[in-house]
Amino acid sequence: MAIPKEIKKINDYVWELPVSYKKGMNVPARIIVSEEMLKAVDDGVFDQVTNVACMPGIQKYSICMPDCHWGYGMPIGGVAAFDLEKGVISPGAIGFDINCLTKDSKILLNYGCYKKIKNFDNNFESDKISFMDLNNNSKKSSNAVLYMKKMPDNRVIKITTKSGEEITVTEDHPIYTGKEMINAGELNKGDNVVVHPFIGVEYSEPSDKIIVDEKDIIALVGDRPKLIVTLKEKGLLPLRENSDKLPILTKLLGFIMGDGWIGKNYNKNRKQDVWSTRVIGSAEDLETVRTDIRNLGYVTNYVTTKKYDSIVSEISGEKRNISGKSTQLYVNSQSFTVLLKALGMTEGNKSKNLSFVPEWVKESPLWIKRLYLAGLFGAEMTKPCQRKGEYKSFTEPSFSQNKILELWDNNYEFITDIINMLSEFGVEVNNIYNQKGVINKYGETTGKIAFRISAKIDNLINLWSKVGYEYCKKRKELSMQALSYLKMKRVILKESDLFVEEMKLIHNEGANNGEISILAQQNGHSVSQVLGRLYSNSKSSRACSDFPTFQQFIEKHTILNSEFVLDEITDIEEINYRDYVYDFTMNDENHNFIANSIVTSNCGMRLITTNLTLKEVKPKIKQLVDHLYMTVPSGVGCKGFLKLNDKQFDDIMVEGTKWCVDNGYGWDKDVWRTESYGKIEGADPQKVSQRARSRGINQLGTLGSGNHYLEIQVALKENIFDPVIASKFGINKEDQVVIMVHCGSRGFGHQIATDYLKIFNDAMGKYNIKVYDRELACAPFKSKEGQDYFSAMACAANMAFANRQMITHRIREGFSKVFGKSPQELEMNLVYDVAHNIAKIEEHMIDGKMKKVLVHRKGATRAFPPKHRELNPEYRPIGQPVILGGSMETGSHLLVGTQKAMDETFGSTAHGSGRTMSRTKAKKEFEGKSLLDSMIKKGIYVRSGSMKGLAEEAGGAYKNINQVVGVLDSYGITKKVVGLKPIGNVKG
Amino acid sequence: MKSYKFLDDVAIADIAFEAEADSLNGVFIACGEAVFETISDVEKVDKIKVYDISLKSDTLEKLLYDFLETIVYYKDTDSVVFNSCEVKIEEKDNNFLLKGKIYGEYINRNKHELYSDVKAITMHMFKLEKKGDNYKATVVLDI
Repeated sequence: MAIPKEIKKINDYVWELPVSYKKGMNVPARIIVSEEMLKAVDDGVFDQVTNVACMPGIQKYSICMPDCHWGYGMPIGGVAAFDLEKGVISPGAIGFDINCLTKDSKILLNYGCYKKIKNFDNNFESDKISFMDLNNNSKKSSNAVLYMKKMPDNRVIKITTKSGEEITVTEDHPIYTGKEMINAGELNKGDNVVVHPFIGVEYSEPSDKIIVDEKDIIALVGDRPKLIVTLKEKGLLPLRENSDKLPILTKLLGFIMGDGWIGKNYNKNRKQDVWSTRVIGSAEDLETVRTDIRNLGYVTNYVTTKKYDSIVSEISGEKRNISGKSTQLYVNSQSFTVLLKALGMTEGNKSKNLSFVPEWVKESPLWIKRLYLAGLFGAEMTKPCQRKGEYKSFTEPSFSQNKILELWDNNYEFITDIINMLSEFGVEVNNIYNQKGVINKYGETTGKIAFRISAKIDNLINLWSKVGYEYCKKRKELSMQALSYLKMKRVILKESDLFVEEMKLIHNEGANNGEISILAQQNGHSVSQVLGRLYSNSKSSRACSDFPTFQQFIEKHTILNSEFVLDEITDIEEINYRDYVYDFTMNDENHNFIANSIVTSNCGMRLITTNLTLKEVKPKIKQLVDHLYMTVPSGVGCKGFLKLNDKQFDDIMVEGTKWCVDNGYGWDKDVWRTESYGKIEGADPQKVSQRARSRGINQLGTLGSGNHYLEIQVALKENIFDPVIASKFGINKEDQVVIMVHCGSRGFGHQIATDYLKIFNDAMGKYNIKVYDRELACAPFKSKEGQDYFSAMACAANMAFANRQMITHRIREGFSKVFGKSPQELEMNLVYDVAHNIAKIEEHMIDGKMKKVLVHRKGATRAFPPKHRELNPEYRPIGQPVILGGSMETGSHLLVGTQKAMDETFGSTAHGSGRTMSRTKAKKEFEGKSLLDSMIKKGIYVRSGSMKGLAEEAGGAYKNINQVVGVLDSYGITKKVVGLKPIGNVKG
Repeated sequence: MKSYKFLDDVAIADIAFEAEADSLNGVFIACGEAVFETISDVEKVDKIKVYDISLKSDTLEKLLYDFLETIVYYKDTDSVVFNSCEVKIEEKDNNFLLKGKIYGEYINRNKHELYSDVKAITMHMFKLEKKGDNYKATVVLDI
């Protein structure tokens, strides 16, 4: 094989191809091998490592480990880091006690919209973020600077509540429980916590389209220079969609359309029309209106409360007496009123005049539409109501408008416009209906058109959590309580649905009704409901009889005078302190790139110890391997032992290892001893295609095939290179037996990669990216495609962690069965689980500065040094365990990460021994059956579903692992700890 | 005429093959057969399960990629191995339409001889070209 003549020796173990080697290289490429190994590096590697060096945003070097070989796209054994670019890191924008650290956390802003943390930009200070003023329970907003700074290594706790809210806070942050302030770290399950169930709609950047300009004003009122100057001075003319005062105006416009009046009188002295506005509402709400008008730069004139006593004439001829108090706010500013008119406010008596939902509202971003609707609903939408006798559900909220019969068509159009807008929020309307109106004071007959909003739980939740009411404190507060109540009910109903599904499974497997009744009782479900639903496909619609009524809920959960609601903690979970995800989410305008193909499925290694020795295991090795071969499914098309529903699969995508441990498939410590605690933040199952789901849902707990395996190994005395560290990792006995697992996220991760590969290939033109190899298709990290992939990849990574965890569970069960002792007695502790196919945001020193970069490792292992803050406290003094899987014949290694790896290779090292021969060739060279026999002679008992597959994995098709480890150790990017010899192997 | 051959010295961690045929339909079928053969011994698979497939793409290369990817998808989703396939490609309104059938059977470990699990079709070196009267494709499978 030809070594490129341009290659330059940097030192005994580092060889560099300069940027001049290939057109388009942004950085040099470095291959970490000994001189002898360099001669055997295959051609594909030189090509691929330099292809990667051409990718936009790559940092320092494109690196290849000593186990490198020709993969697809990036070479196997490849490491590359990509720039995230400096953007603002906003400690404050986490929010107050509604902060979350994951990038998709929704931060509520003051106009009822939210931004995902990741979408805050350099101007974050101008965003008004909502928070709860703990002194008076009111909701306020402020810019990020006022928020608590989040230290990077604070303990962070995720709290889940009865209503399904998730709140993430730092442990030292005081939380108002409704009674007192308690530090989050001291909270327990069952404690109360305060939540704000309103979500709002996602903020999107408004355009700079002009909505009202000078010409529009002149068309309305003629040339009135003073009025125009006033508007200009207040920054209201021209009024654009992105004017900072438009949100307030929209909200006011909606409210005044409902409960207000604008009009003009001709003033003879001034010889012109005089315009004014009146707003009707409760004194308290009008105060809020007044504040908003003041924020626009206007003075309101006065508030009056009048008694009224009027007679309403029904069409039937009946007359009704209506009396009460009406409070009105007067705004005599002409320019304010004219601006409202220009924005589309109906002038004069609304029942006699045309009303329209303004075109500019219909064309505006969703969050602006929401302001209009919420203002209008604050005036005209009915509050959350209950029917007599139905105290656990709500009636259909309704909205109506009266107009004289001649304007029926216009009225209908207005109503349908509102309904259409609602549908954009996922709010469905049941029906539109006509009602008899009244006779107005001019003696004209009016007709009422109304609509009812569907009272399905999800629909009401959408209405009240995304739209809600503005300028009507009472309805707003009540709707928040109703919202929290419904969310809680939804959680209960979902649990009940899940329980019934489980029972159906058990029932199909032979459980009788009696057994199911007992289970239902034990789990707090209604026996009759569960039994009834065993035979039907209906979803549950009724909550269990001990579920509280809304009234009972209010008594327990209301915070007086507040839109915040008391909720109860159902789960508390410590989230590890890494806030990389959060930090990067605050960045903006990154021109960085995530390369799809480089990362697939968080394929990785894990190592489990036992307290057994070779002497004890050897006699039972056949029994053990046969047992594991049966219980850990492997090979083409294998299915796992768990039947998951979609919700559970979603949870696994998000929770990773923790899901397994929570469901009884592992020990708490397993989470601790997994890279990133077995959970990559930011996973979003919505970014995963249905195709990937269907490929993956049956595969949890399976090995797969190819080079994946489960191996029983022994740490022979002569192979312990660093007894001190070995002992800290749990290897402290002569000839101690350990188990190594190598596998990934199976078809799931690969399908995700395939899906995004296609998307990226189509998108590259748009982003003007060219790559040498289509398998290196990529998209800017900050682009929608890049972010979507990152979220989907996190799902794959978490599924892979969970997969190895499930396999670990089976291994523990197997050993326990064969040796007649519990896994605890056998001390089957996880040493570590480490990924070697993954992209992660990490901090590295680049050009003398610490910088966040996106590190891609394809067939390369993270190798963090002692003191690295991402390591758990147990391993922090020692350094990260690194697991290197050799071929099934030659053995594997346990090593430890070093500072040198941080300095030279983005904290990375090799992942195995590396192939030297293609699979196709290996199948010609070796024959499965005779290989099996020769391995038995060497003392290795192997089970494999495929003889051809076995031949592909013959030791002779791989590099000598000792050479690979030798380079790593001598160069110093990882240090040898223990060499491990195989004695039994289940090959995928 | 159609044929495929596995390549010894390409993409050594995975499996690469070249397929050639004197028609477009033929080269698609040959690629399909190469994937089937990678997964298991096709001789031992009966034509019990039939998948009707219908795909559309704006380029022939993408159409081939989608076709092969569909095979991998059915393998995992339904746990099947394959025997053979039929393919008919048409060009319509600047798009290429593929209609076809894939024949296979649910995996039976006692009956079938399983080889390698194809995890994905890669775009590394992926190529479909016309050479003289023949069509030729190069594909690397992720194993």
